[in-house]
Amino acid sequence: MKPTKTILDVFNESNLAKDEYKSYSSFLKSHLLSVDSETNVPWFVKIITIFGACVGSLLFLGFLLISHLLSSEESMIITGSVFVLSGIAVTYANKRNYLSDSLSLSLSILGQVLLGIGIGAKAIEFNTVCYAGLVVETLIYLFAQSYTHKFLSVILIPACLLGIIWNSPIFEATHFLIGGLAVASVLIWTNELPLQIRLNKLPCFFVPTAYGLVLGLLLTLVLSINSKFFVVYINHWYITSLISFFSLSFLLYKSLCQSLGISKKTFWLVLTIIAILFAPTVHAPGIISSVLIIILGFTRSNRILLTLGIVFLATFIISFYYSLQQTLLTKSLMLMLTGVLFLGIGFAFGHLKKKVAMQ
Amino acid sequence: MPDEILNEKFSLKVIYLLAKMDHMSEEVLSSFYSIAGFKPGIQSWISFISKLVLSLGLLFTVTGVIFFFAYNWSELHKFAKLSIVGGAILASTIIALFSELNKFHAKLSLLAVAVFTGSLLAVFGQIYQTGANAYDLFLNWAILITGIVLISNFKPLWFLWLTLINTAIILFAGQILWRWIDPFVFISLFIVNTIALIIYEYFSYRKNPKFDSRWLPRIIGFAIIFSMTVAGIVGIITEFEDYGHAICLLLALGSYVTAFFFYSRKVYDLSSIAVSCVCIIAMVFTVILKARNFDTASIFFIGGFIIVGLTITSAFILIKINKAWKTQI
Repeated sequence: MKPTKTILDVFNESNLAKDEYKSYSSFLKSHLLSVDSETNVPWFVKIITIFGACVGSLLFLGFLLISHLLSSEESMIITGSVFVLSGIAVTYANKRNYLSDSLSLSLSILGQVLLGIGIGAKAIEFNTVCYAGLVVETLIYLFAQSYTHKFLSVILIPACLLGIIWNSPIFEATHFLIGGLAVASVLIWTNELPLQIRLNKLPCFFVPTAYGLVLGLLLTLVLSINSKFFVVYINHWYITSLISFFSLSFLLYKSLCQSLGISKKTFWLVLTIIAILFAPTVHAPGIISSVLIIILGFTRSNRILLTLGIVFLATFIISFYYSLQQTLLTKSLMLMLTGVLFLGIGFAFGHLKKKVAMQ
Repeated sequence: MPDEILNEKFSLKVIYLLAKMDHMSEEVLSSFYSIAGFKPGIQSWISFISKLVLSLGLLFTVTGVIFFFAYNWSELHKFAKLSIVGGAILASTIIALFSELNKFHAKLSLLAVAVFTGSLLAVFGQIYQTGANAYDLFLNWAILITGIVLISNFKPLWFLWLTLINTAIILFAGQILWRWIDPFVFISLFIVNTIALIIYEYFSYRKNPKFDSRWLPRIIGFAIIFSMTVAGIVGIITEFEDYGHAICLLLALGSYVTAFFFYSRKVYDLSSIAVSCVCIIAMVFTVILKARNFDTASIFFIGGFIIVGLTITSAFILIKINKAWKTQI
């Protein structure tokens, strides 16, 4: 998981021709030191940018509302649109200097909130706000030249879709939205390398989309924790669980059968064991989906995905046992039995590991 | 351009950069990806699943035992209750004893022993109604597991031990001294956590492989910086009615300077510097709020500018440090 080899080691082991070695190493030398390369920006900077932009824009919003500078719906819509467009424009003006990312993101967030309030007040219907949100987020996703803008849009697009679904008689379409996010997450990460190469002229697309989809999936699944809290009563959570299970099966097929060449028989055995293990949690789709993200993180050697998966898995497991309509005694016995079962499987794998190592 | 840059670890970031090259083919990138060890082999898969499942197993079993005693059923004889926890400790100890301590399952067994020790103390207190304070439980628990923590070299166990010590201090101040939210409690926690962090970072700086992992010092660092900032902010708002808050503010400022210096020059870790930046933003914002006497409209207007301005400055500083570090290696 943690990289152990240096760039030099990898190049040496790749048996590169002299000119290939020269071109790759000179490219890396120039880009690894370059401050204007987005890849070189530590993720803490992006977190701080998002944090600062959110707090800053909310304060500006508070000022605009308190000072009654924007009193009519029309003025809110117009100012909101101007702010959103300015936010996008700043990303173009500072393509190579993302220090102003915080400013452009503040403008964008402020504009989006103003647009939401303005359209909401004018149209009254929540659906209209969601449709407008969908259009605005899609535009930001397509045109903004910044990781953070696109990342937030990828998370907000499913949120708008969710709003539209909830204002329609087909609540159950939520399962297909979440399922779609699970499928998209698997597809985008399993095609990481070809997509990165194909999108090399559009460097701001892959990373925010891939991470945004995963976070969007996990955040949307929080709805499955407690329906009473979210007022919307969604049934048949097994549909989401099934879609996540099929996505997991596809991921395992690609990783175990295609990459490692294990037999179909072993693959089906693995799937059967997973199905049996997770059958009791079929109404808590967050559990199988978090496992999907953990496996995705492992297969892509991506620690951010792995950490996200583990954090959400813990949350979903706790909520699952909390929401069980059983006495503490029954819950404790169930937990202990599951624990012993997992420990047994763990020790079996320990022996298998020894066997494989000896071979 | 220095050739040393090629001695940097071949991380996913390098893959992302290489993908941007003109005429980069999927085959070449895939081959780099495999050689760098990003594609897990069968051995890695088994090891990963084994660790994941064992961790989940331990989590479920320990939670199950805790829920079992939370049920507090009277039908169960007190000896039976004690025997169940004692049995769990014994079973975990036997597994740890007959395994090599560097193996993951042995470390997990030691973690189970440590957690069950707490359960045993809780059950003992529940049965005999010893009248002890809650801080006694946490302090005794920490003392009893110290040996296990020392031999285990397992970060989650160290984390548990430090959490117990922190909890014991908070409960001692609250239950014995009747000072629940007090700057001197924060200062006591600061001292304990700083000592732990200094020890860790000393060995990390000396490149001791046992202190290679960064999550534990990051959490301790966050706790130190964040708690001192909160206490300092309370001091600013209350105009330092309690002089302890002034000490907290000084300690907070000292923490920021130390974090900036140490994590940019000695041990490279931007996360603590980033947390310091966020805390400095919060501190400056509070000072301005106080100076404007909480005048709402101007706070919102000026505050917005200040937050965005300070965020840009923080990003600039962090990127500068990142670049400076890269040119050093």
